[in-house]
Amino acid sequence: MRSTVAERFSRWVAAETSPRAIARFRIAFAAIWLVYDAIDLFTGATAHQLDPVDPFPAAWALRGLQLVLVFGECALLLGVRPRTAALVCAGARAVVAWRFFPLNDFLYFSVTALLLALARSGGAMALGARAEERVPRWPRDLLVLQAAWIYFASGLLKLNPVWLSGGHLFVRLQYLGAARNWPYPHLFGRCAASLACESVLAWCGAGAEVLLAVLLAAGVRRRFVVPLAIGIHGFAAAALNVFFFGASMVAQVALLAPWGRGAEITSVRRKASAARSEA
Amino acid sequence: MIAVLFLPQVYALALQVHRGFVPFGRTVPERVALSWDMFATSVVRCDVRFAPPASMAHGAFSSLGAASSPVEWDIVASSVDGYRVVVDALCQKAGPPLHASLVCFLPDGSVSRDAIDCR
Repeated sequence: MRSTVAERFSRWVAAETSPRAIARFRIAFAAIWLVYDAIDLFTGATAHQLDPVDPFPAAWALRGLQLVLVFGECALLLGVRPRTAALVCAGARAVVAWRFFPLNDFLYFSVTALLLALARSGGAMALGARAEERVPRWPRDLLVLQAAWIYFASGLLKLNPVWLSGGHLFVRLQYLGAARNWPYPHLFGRCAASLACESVLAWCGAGAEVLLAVLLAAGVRRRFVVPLAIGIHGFAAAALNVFFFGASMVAQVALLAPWGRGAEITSVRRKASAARSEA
Repeated sequence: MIAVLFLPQVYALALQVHRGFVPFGRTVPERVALSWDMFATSVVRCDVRFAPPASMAHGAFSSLGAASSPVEWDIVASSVDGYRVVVDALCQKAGPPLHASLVCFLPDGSVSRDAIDCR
């Protein structure tokens, strides 16, 4: 039994894949957070959140870290020493979370960037790319499992009285409508004013997250998991004003979840057969 | 390496359970780093408006909402008292006459209204 588990683990660690999927996710991840950090750097949005009354006393330190993030994300985007860039970005964001703003979204960034630092993806879709190289598959699997764990934990923790009663959604939806004149459609606006309707949405949200976690962990195909991820994060963006974390999670699911069982083996066989026929 | 990345996340979720959270129970999760408690904690939000516009770190604004970036970044506090602290600080900075009105949305579905005149 133990030898079977060890064998399977060894096979998993030794398995190889095309670097394209991880490279595409690296590029999407870097682009999404580059936009976030560039906006934050130029508008000082986080500094204003930390001290809306007076100029934020440690603004220079925050801006320095944001600059590091912007440069790191540019390198990650272009594939210039991507593993080092991912490591630097993970560290800089962790310092922002630890020193300034303890957001789980920032910790998600750090964990994901650390996983990207473990992955080889620089050879594909990067400057001077060699597209046909093979790289270890386990970092890609870990990135999918990481997304599954986040959905599982987040969905599980939502099974509490405030979320399930619709109270949490009531607060956020009412606030955005009143303070930001958020353009809710008329019918949705009526739902936002009713705890009963928000409770239904809350149950659907928690259920969708747990379901997505199970599907991702089971290696279910992309065509089933991507619509669910888009549904969850599309709602969060349109109704709750949360864009960047959601975009990053959708990219993680859409670019890294498997196309289907054996899809990659089929594509390798197709290439081999094409090579034989050319010869 | 895998353990270094994943064990803290398992520990964070276990910490939520240790602090009293059980699915469908009465305890609402608290903020715990790496527990992925996004939207699971209890929140309060207030729409805070000023008359005349209050002088803030990056300009004069008629509300905290107007002082926030159009998307994603919201200037918020974690409790009604937290919002009062911001209003008090603005009162001290700007001085009278400044009138602030607070409309606060609470997770039990109620709305509380308050007004503060700087003296």
